[in-house]
Amino acid sequence: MGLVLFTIVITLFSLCFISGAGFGSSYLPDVNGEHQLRVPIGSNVSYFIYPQNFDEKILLVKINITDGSNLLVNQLQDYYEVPPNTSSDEIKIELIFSLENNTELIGKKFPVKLDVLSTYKTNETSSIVTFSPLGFSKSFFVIGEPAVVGIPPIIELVLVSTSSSSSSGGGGGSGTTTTKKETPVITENKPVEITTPKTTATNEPETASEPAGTTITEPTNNHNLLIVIIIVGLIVAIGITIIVKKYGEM
Amino acid sequence: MKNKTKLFVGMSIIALMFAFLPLVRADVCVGQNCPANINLTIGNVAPTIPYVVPGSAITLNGGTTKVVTVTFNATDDNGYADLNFATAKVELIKGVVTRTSSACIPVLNGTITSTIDCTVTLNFYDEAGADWMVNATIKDLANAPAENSSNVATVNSLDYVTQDVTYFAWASATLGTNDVEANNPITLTNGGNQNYATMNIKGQKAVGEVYLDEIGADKFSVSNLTGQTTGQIYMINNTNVDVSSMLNLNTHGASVTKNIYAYVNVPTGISADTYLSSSAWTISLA
Repeated sequence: MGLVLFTIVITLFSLCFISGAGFGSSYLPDVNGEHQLRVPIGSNVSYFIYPQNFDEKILLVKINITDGSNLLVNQLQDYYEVPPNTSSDEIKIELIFSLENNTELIGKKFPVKLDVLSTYKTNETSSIVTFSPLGFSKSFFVIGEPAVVGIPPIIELVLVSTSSSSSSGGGGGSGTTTTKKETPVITENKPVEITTPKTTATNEPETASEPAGTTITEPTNNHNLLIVIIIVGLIVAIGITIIVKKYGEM
Repeated sequence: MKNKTKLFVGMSIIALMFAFLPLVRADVCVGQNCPANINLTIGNVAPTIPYVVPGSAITLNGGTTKVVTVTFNATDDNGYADLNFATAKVELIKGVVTRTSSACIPVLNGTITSTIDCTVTLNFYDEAGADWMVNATIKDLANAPAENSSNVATVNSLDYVTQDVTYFAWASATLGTNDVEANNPITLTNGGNQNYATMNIKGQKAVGEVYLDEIGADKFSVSNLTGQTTGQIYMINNTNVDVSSMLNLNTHGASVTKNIYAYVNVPTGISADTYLSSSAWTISLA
């Protein structure tokens, strides 16, 4: 048998047939080698995927989720179009995980696996998009946590200073000065809304400064001081007079 | 002598009265707005950084850098102009890694407070984590420092892998020859901050374009080394094969790559032809 030459070309849809593929995703803490998404029972927690596309072609991203416990509550699109030159977190895909309000779920672990697939959009008119079956696989555990405890009662004390009010004579008032003391008012429980400045700092502890030569209001009463000064002056004068008389005549 | 005494006493009283005159004058101003010229020598007060704006989680860019802006307020009781903006700095610190701002500019000035934007460049391989310490510092013109490191930042996970080519090719192969190495390897580069301990490759059979003869997927193998005749990992048609024992990207950094070398055992009994994979192979990372 003679030698036969072959040409073999194996095309790999390596990482889904693109020269670079990837995405950012929410940071999940690694606990003993397991990535964990902690979800309070009775609550939703979002996990985000940020697809990136540094090419000049439209990238199509598909997410296959293996979620045996059906914790994902939002409907994902068949695929997501990522425009050219999309970086970082310009586009985000939200996956909402939820646990029912059942205390038996606290501490339980539910495995979730995500396969993130991507390919370039090659035929703009095609309605069928074929994805390579695999790309990146990410696995983590959804961990049930105690429900978010309501914010403890907020007791708002309306402090009213003791005020004096004179009753007018009308209505048979006694005309005496009475003191009305307000009791503290406890308002209903209400959540506290905490807002965080996003782009600019706003809580400047700005204080007014005093330029030189400014007008100063003297707040103290100096009448007593004047009297003291006069008395001290007289004592000193008398003392000097006595001393001079005593030693002057010697 | 007595006249001198009287004169001395009188002068003493008058001097005493003049000495207290300013106090008497002040008393006149009680409860009023009195103009006064005051000369004060004020000592330097060290600046403070009372507030660093919390930022949202940072998502890095695959294979390249990411520039983030950190904003903080700096206050100086001597006036904002006493702040030395050239000394403003923000560091993002995690473990032994420190990313330092390249530029800081005041974007808003109040009487004693300035809002300062600092740009920090992160690399694609910087660790994901919710414990990046944000350390903002500045000095005033007297070189008195201020620091705030009470905030932390989160860097998201980044999965990103590139490859130089998307195919294996053999220019020629001889019937009945084993371990024929492809002309080119595929080089994978980890362009993110994640590790991949697991790599699976799903191989496919190759089919002749003219005669439709086949080379089974089980004739193809891969290795992390070139020039191999034993020890490669063989494919199974349309099935994921775990090649992690020799091929993985189980680390990340500035330049983490892995070469995949492909081999074929050319069977006998097939026609000379050009063979193409029946469908795409895939590489998956986990």
